[in-house]
Amino acid sequence: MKVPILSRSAPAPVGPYSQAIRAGDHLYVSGMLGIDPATGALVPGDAAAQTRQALKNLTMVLQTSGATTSQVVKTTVFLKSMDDFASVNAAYAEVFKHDPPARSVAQVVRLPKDALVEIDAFVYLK
Amino acid sequence: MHNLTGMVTASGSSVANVVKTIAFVVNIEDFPKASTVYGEVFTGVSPARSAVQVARLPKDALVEIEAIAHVE
Repeated sequence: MKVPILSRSAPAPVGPYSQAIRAGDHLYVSGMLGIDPATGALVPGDAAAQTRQALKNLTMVLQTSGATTSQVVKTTVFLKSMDDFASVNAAYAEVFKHDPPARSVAQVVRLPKDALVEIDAFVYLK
Repeated sequence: MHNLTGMVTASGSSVANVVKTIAFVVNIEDFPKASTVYGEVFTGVSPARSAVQVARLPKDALVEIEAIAHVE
């Protein structure tokens, strides 16, 4: 059973993907960008600001799924520049305070909308 | 996408069971085109997706797609 999740408090999908898919006890969340759902544009500011917004969007998608950030088991953080690692890490730690999920971090050449950071997540709903 | 469809089908699954993908592309400007082809395959409920532009792919491919399928 594959259930698409659509939160109106997170940016609407702009292509053939769902914000998240629930399958059994698992939730797979798309790469979240620091887009303000009200404007459809990246939030002003640096990579830390985009990280906060991306994680806010993630939190909204989780909420719609009846989940919380404490149930996130794995994330992938794609960075435009590894020089932003420390500031992104600090913003990330504001959300994942205790028992943070497993994580991979990689610098890539370019992200959709020329974002500075993209974060996807796997969630175990039990 | 043919290879991906072949593999999930060989596993007794189908593209309808794909829940998450990562699209690695070497030029994100090409992404709308790639996304259209992608959308032709995932016609039902679209999987969650992450998309990034990377420096280089194996065999200097232009696109690499990883997928997780949920097998009941």
